[in-house]
Amino acid sequence: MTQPLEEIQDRIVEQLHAGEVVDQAAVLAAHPEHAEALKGFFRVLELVEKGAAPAAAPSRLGEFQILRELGRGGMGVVYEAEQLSLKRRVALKVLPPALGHDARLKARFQREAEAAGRLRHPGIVPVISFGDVAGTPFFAMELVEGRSLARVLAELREGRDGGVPPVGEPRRRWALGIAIAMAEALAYAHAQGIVHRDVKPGNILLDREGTPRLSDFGLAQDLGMEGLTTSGESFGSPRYMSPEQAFRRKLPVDQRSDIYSLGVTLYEMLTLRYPYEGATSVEYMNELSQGRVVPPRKADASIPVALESVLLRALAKDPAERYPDASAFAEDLKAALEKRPVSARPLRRWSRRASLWVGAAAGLLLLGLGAWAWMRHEVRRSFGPASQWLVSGPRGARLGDLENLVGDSNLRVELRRFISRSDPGTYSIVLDLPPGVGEGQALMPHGTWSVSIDGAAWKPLPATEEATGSTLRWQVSLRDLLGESLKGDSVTVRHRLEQVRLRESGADALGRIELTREPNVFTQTVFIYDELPPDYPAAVSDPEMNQTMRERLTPRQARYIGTRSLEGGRKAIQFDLGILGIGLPAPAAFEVSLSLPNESVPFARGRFVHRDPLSPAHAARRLMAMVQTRVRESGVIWIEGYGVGPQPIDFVLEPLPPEKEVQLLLDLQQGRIEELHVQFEPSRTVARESSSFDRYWNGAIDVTVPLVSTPAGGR
Amino acid sequence: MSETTHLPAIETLLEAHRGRLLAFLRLAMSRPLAQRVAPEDILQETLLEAAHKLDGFEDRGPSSFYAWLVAIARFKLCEAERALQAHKRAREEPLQLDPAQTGTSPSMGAMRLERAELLRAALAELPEAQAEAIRLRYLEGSSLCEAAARMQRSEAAVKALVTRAFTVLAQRLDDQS
Repeated sequence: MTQPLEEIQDRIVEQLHAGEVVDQAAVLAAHPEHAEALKGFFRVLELVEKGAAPAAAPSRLGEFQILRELGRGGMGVVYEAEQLSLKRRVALKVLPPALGHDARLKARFQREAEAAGRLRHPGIVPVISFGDVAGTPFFAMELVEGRSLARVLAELREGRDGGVPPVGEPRRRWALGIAIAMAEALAYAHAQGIVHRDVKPGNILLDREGTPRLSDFGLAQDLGMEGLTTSGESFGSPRYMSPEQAFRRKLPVDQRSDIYSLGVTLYEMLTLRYPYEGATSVEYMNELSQGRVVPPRKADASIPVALESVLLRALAKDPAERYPDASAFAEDLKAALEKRPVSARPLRRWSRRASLWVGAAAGLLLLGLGAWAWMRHEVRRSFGPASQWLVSGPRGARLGDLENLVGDSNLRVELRRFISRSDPGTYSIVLDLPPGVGEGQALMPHGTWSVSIDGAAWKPLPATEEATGSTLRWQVSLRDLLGESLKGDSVTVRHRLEQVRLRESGADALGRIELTREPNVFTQTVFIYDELPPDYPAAVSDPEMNQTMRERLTPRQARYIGTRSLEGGRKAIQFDLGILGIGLPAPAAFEVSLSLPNESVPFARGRFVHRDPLSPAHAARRLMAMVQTRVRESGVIWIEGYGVGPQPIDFVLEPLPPEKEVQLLLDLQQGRIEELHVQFEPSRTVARESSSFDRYWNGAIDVTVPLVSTPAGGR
Repeated sequence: MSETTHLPAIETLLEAHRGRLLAFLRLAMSRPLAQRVAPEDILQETLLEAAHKLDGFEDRGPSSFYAWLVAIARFKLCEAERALQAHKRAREEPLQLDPAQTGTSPSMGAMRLERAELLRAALAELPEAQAEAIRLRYLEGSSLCEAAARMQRSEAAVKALVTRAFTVLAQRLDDQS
């Protein structure tokens, strides 16, 4: 089917606008008649989208004569080349020269090449050699004559047969064969400590015989060697990314991410669709964040139940729910192929349990405003535009080290619901405690509902309350209760779980709160915590939470901007810490010091000033606060609070002897200071009723970031 | 620079538009402003604001998210221009920390302009209708319908102009390399 060039290009422009990643190779394959025009089009896009001129192809690198460009990946360009000494064709992956000057990227590239070079497996495209010519690192891989699975799938979508078996059982056997081979290849790589991290149809090459081979361990990273993954480019389609890759989670990206990505690939081979609905990236990410996989049998009812179970297990949002390793996945795939029983549980049971636990795990990890925004986005979709949830009370932290809750404990949760006048309904809250917590034990919930209209004082609201086993359920019907008196622009409903007595518990557990407004269900995990002791910050500290906060608070790079002369002969030193992270509670205080080879020079100390910590609106703004620029000046430092303009922070200048100060300036100007040390102190000043965020993040953050003196535009 | 492998969804989403938005900003910035302010700074402000306001975004079609980003970028651009004017008026300049003042020396500004110049020059040489079509449809994220209305042409004509513009730009780029 021939499409006019304008249509193809216009569709691609729309895809880009929607945040899609365009698979150039697949587009070119699907429209060979426009290949030349489309290549030119992609070159222009490259210039704009990447913000840099496309690299001119080198003609020769060492003993490799470059013949043509095969494609571009996240980290480099792949060429077909001839190895002159052996007179054989190879695929040559080259780091773009522009990036060749970046020591970190170069180090990463070499590491990848070394990692990939160690792999020898029939299902993996071998790396032949790697090297570095005139500052341009490259590695040579065996050239696979054939095509990528992405291209085959593109042809199938176009309605062509793609040279693969017809739809139905033959197609499924073909797809399973590929998935099994790739799972085995992954199992081998994982055993060598290498995670691929970018498994997708574009990286699965089918040779002339149709044998699949996994290529491009370009993003592979040695397990346990974190930290060299900085790349300014967005790579990969989010469609194949595991949730822990797509969202900043405290979960490590390990072999189970590859299992997930292979699961998406298999899903696509079987159905030509993706496991999540959503035409745009925004929608897709949203579905992904909710973990709502479209069951494969919904897409194609002829898919056997067992195969569906296998797929769903591979696609579980929580890595712990997936296959523990790729060989277990391969085994189950084989069982599905041979119609033997599989280890994965069928959908119904899986889904219920998964939604509970995956929901809980998701809530556990969805922290910060990013998540908050998604959540609100989701809520808006489910509940209509006029209403918003504000869950106040910590969300998704651990169940306050339940093992410490021996004896009677008071738990408290507060939820607010802003409801438009036209939207009264029945709301219910279900609190699930994990098995082992409530079962057979005395569980005595007590909660109250209250309502506030247009911000007026809270009035109690009757509600039903019941507890069965480990589930507590409260229900309130606004329509019945308020009837005609429901007047006002905003109605807020609050539920406060006053008390749950757990006589004994040894579980390390999560609670889940489910808010329901028929016919929609919105699940939000809440942290159930012990009644706040007066010395709460010191008493409750969650190391995992602190780790998450540390990850979010770690600036990627600090930039030394320069100095400015001020009146009175003083100098100002400017640093830019960039965005520390979006969706953070502003820490209470911070300290910055500069690391010299032999000493650490204290530079600045400051305390954030929170205005009105009780206002949710303020909380939202405060969360956007970024430490954008700091100036060592006459005792003033600013924090850019988003939407509220620069906010002053109390600031203490570390006293430095004048000669030390001069030396410091010299060191800075000459680039001798390579690191900036930033320490954040926990927020202790926020009152109990304020936004949830400060309640469970209590640890000090201590980070060291590389300091560069390149200009802002240099990337 | 961000850690791509650990980007939260919201950043991944915004990152996908970074290059295009930057191109838009570079083309839209006045020269005096471009000398003083890094377009990257305005971009950063824009993305932050977008992240902040994400729940206010209403999906109205494939291009609407990007068009929404452009609208925020325009607003940020206005703010920066205003800050620049205010800065010019005030003789004694106190040390201010808004991005409009953040460490942009004229030479750095010039370097920054180089890349933008390449595209700007190529666009400037396009016939007016082609340049407008590609700017509206691609760089600003207007829907076909909007672009057609603005240009008083049919949607098919706009699409054809965009395609021609891309073809000419590709040739220019090839000529240069």
